[in-house]
Amino acid sequence: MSEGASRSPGAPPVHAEALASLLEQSAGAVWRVGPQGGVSAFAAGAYLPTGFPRLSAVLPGGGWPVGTLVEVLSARSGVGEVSLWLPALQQWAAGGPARACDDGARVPAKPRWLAWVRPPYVPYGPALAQAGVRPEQVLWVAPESPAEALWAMEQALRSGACAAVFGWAHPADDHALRRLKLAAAQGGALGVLFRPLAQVALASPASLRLVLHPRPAGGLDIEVLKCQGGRPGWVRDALRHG
Amino acid sequence: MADDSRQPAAAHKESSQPAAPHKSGRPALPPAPAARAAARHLWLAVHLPALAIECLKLEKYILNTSQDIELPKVIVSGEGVQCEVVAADAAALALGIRPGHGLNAAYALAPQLGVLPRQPQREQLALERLARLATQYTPWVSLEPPDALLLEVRGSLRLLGGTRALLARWRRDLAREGFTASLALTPTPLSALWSARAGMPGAAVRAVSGWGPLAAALAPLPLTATRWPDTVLDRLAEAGARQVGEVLRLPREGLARRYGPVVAEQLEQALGHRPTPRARTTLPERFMETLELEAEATTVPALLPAVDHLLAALEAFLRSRNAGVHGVVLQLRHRPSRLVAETGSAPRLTTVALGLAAPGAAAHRLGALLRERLDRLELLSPVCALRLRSGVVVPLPPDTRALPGTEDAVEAGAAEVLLDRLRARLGEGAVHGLSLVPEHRPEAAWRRAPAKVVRGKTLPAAGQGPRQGPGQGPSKGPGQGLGQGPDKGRAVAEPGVPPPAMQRPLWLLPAPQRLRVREGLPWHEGPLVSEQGPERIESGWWDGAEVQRDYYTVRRADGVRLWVYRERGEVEPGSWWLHGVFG
Repeated sequence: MSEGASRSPGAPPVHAEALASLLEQSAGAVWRVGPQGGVSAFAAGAYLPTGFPRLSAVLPGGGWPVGTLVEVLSARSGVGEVSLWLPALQQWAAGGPARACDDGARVPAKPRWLAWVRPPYVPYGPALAQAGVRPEQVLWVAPESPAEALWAMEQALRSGACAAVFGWAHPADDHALRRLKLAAAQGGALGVLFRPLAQVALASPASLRLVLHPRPAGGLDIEVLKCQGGRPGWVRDALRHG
Repeated sequence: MADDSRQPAAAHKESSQPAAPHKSGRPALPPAPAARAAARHLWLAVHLPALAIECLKLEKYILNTSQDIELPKVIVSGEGVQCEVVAADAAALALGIRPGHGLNAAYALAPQLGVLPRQPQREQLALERLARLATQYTPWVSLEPPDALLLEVRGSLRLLGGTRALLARWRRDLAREGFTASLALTPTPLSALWSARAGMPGAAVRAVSGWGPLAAALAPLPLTATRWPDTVLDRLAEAGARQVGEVLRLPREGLARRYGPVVAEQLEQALGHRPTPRARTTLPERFMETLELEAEATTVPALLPAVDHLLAALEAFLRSRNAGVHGVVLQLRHRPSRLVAETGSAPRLTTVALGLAAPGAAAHRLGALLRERLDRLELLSPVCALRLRSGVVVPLPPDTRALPGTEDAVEAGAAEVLLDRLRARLGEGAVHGLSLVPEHRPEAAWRRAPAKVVRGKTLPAAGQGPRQGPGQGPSKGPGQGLGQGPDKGRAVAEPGVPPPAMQRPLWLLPAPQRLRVREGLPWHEGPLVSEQGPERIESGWWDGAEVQRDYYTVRRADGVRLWVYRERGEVEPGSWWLHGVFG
């Protein structure tokens, strides 16, 4: 209902955002009916709050899907494609989404690695530490070729030892992405693949495809190109809170 | 005589009665008092009649191109007329060739015969290899060169589920290794050896577990099984003794005088009246084994069975010590080139070194990692031998993993496996972790570190209590994701973490990049708009790498956020530099 309501023509968008913000805060405590009509596995940790209410409002389950592949496309690197993940990183660093027990108590999951595969630059430890990620949780893999990077991502995703795997591997074909998605499902990890905007036209098996458009005055517009269980659309000034 | 002093032990006479049928009117040999009550030891003898040829047959795994594989083969020893067959393969045996035949006789039976010299060193290696396997069953394994092993198994019978189970497992091991053996199980080492030598491979195992029936069991053995010198055997034959029992019946005072001290002594040892010291084979604490390929391997897949073979031996070696290794080294020895042109370029040895994140012993895990490395290897010249060396052998910590079936149990070990796999394929230099350094200069505030396995319990701060998600944290204005979460307070306390007000970029350039300046303002593919700053960093005057900089967070028209600084030092003051990208 969440994304349906937010886009229904009659509902003023302000209310939708307030509702989304409320739901965001009570993440995990509220069970929501999934987009296909069934109960989503939200509380079981299958979705991770994005930390950005406007964005969460359009995503099925109200957050990042876990155990699958997300594709982030942008014209150039540096527009905030990684900053988008900082709130999520923070949660993973703390042990991932808490799992709800039957009695309502929430158990923090085990901390796992956050893997960076073939990033364009050195992942800067102090910045990650500011985001709450301890340095020992960072696994930095620097393979020489994109093909090796895809292999490394697949291994890391499948291993179960990583909470999330951020990868820069271009070019990557449909087949490779499919493998990544499968590996992510097996390892219960989230795979994030950063790709250049030119790949927009190609079909992709990723569960979620986002295109980042920087706003002239700062901030990001996010175009949801594909969203399994949800609908494509735009999120204006997605990183603004409230 | 030495045993005369033990004669008074007459109380035990009745139990030893059936053991030694005697005609001489002398009482039967009483069992040694120490070994009296019950056989304290139980020795399993493993006699390998075809070791001389089977130790070469190991390479059958790789043999597939050699043309002469179809020829019947024999192993010979000695020279000239004395050259005789020591062992023959199945094809040669089918033609009627038997060990002991002269080489000429063998040729008469099979004109097309592959003749190989005996290789005592390889036989010894094969024995050691089997001894290593045997240490899975008992710590007390003794080599009996040239062709037998002795295992003391009394202590481990219960653990292994009894004689029958032990023998079945051991037979399986031998079959897998490609050896035929005859086995015997008796209370003394010599009697076991003799029984095994007299037995036929594959026949039922001669097993005697108590003292009582021991002498009776030894009686029908042919004297050749004792391997006494030929001269002694000949003289015993003259006296009408061809079986052990017949020697036992001879007056014993005369035995030593007539046939030498060895005969009398060994008989007493075989019956347990005298101790038979048997050294425990101490195996080296590092594993090293070489496998010669009879047919050279030109491709990596052709090597893999041999690699698996070596790894299986390594695993047995490690399991017997409850130990693991931090790494292994596989060396491929190449065929020496005949062409001069080749010798210059092709190396004689290819070395593949493999490190593990945590000590391991499992052959399949090491095998998977080695395969990653080998897959990427190009064989410049054919490989003729493999050698596997272990690193230092370390005791494996007791398994303190979570209960099976729980979530933690699934994850345990996954990190080590991933780390090993990545390192094996991408190289040690491609997998890192990070560490922080309490340091103000941005480029010095971090360091590459070996990747470490994250353990849930070593993260007290991160895992504490329920977390509500950052949406509930003190969320602030746009573009300020950094350091704005509930971890704010903790992060400040952490050494090396700048306070949240001083935003750090996610990407740091390997070295600062000089920026052009247009109309007094820095320019990077477009004009830059300041978002935050300046943050003054002055540090490092003491080590010669002093920095005096004003850092700004700037934003380009296309939305890219950069971290730039203005130089304040003596070198090029006022110049602008790009140092990071916010990502």
